[in-house]
Amino acid sequence: VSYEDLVWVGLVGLIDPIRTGVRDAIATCRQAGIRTVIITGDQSRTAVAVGRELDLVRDGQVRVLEASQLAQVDADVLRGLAREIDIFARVSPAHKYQIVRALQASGDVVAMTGDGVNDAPALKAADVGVAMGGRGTELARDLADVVLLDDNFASVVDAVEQGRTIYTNIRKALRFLLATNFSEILVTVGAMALGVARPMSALQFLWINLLTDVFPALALALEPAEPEVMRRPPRNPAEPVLSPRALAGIAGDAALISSVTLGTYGLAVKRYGVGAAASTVAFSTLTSAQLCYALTCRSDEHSGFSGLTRNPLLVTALGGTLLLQVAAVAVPPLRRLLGTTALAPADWGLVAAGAVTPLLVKELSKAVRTGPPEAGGRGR
Amino acid sequence: MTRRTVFSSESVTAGHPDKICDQISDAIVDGFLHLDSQAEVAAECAVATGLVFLAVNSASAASVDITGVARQVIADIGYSKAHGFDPETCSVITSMSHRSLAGASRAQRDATLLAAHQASVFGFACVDTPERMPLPIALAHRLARRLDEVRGKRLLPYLGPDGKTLVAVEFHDRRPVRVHTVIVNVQHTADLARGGGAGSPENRLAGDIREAVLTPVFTESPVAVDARTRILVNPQGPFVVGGPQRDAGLTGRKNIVDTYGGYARHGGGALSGKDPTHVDRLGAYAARHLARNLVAAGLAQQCEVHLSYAIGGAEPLAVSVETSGTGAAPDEVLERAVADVIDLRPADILARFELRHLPAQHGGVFYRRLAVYGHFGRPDLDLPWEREDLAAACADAVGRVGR
Repeated sequence: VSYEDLVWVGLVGLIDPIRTGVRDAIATCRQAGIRTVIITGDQSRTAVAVGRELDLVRDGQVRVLEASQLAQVDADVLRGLAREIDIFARVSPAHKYQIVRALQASGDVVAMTGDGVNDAPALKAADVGVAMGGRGTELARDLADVVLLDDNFASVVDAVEQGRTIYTNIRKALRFLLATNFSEILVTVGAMALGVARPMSALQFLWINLLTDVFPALALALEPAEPEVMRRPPRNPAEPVLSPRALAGIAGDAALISSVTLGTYGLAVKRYGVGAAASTVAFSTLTSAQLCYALTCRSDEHSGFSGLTRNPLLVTALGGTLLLQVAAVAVPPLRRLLGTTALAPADWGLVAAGAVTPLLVKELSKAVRTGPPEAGGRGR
Repeated sequence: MTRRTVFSSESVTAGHPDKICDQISDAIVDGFLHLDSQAEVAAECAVATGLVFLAVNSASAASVDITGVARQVIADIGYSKAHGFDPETCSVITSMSHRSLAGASRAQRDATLLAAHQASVFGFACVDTPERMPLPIALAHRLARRLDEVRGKRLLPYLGPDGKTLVAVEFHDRRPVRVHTVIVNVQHTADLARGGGAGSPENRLAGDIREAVLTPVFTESPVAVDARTRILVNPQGPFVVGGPQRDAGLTGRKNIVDTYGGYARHGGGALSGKDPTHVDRLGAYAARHLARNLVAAGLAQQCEVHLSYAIGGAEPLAVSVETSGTGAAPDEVLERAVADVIDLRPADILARFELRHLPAQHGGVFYRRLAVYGHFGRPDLDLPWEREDLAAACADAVGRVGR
């Protein structure tokens, strides 16, 4: 049969369609300061079409490197190129390792997705190796740090969002724990320095440490993601969990809480003299001020009350702990145990005022720093 | 007393790194115009060891496999792994911005096309050669072309694609009288040293080049090589590592090679990589057309036409003719005659030369051919701006204006 005898019936075009949601996921990544790079075995013409469809465009340009023999490209050249290229085309999987190394050499933290045996070196070299769970090979899954059960790129982006949230929540919980514990030390040391007797008993401190510190901290660790978590640049991996600046802020917060506590204690001592009654005022003020402070710790930028309903656990923890504290003063057996006395309504007022003062100060400074909400956008 | 001067011009072979870039850039222009005559495209190229970089801005209904075009050009030139530049496996980086536009509205817009850039362009012609080009560049091009021919036909199987030629010609009162110096630098494989025969590899190469390249070129030259002519072949020694592996290349670096070898003034704008609506490209062609026709009409022995275009203008800002005292009429008369003969608005030049349709008329390979051995004085190509179709009209106009 010669070709002349053939009859042209039609033309069939086949595409491997891009999964829905990938374009949005890439856009989210861009906002989050994460650059998405495609490494493909396809020709650059296909790669350009895919890049355009995914909006993988910088300054109106689709930047493609077609390199079937990446090993021949000078390592320095590749390092320089790596930051400029968005799509690596006609690349064999064996060369992914070089690309990952080049990106790392230019100072980037690299996550790499892969499924084949050939991807193994790159998955291992990447800071975060992500293997496909569905069509990935056993080796790829073994070497990867993360295995995607649904093989969907969007899940990687979700994971980044959750990772960032967990990290910031750890910081929030740490900040709360450090500030509250430090405030307790400052209260004791401060009272001694001022020559007043120790304001609180050991049992009362134990009560604070067991109840008011633990539950709000746990609830803070479960805070939902802040709305701009994926609009912030990635944190510098070299930076400590709490920067010296953050530690100084924590010390300031602790000083604020303890000075309010010592203030109310001073007023109570003036009225009742040194003893159980004054101690009860200080004890109640410190506990409730710490609980209110938990709200401040929810965000560095937003009001402590915004989106509070999205973390019902925190509401429960704060409400429950506050009730326990009221019980510690109001319920006679607990009163006997902790050595507290009943408080007069005026004392309750004093405690309440002391409790909300640090919260108000902190929220006010947040509002001043970030500007009024109607002005839109916070300072960077 | 006769004034003796020596003037030299150089040319390069198709495999010279800068010329690789020019050819790739123009092949991309061809690629777009072949599929879409209304395409707008600007293609810049750079090459280095194992690497091609392409920045392409285009507005077209067509989509061109730019990477494929680049690899094809490199393969066509004759590069292979043996020459340190493998068209199959070299890395190609593309930075593309593409606007997809419908053709119809732009075709209408052409009628009133204004200069989109500013440009000062020069066209030149003289009586020294049949192609009305200055002799030094004409000879340098013939040598470069012959080098590529010899390599293509494998007459000297050890030749590589990278090479340069230089011809210095002695002039007496602006008349070329003899060839002063000839330099040929050509890439060769390491086989040259191992090859049989008597004598050192250097002597063998020099002998081969004289016989296969110089002799055929200079037998047809208006002025001959004589006993005093200095002939240098690879004077700097062996030239094994060449092409992009040795020197990086860039589009638009060989503007003087592309034009008159420095014999005439140059506006500075590169020709390759630009679709023909770019006024520095079409203006240079139009200026050459006028200069050549003035010389063909016998109105001057040598003639330089200068056109200035300003952004947003249709008519050239200035048209001037400089015949250096060789004109049959004063330069002012020639200037006025020229303005009378032809319309120099970009839209008219575009239509007159059919610049947008030439690639399609030539099977998709047109501008790319211009990117080696010069854009002017090409007896091997039928170029609209090399036609002497205005000579009679020029002579008539000078008669009218002169009176």
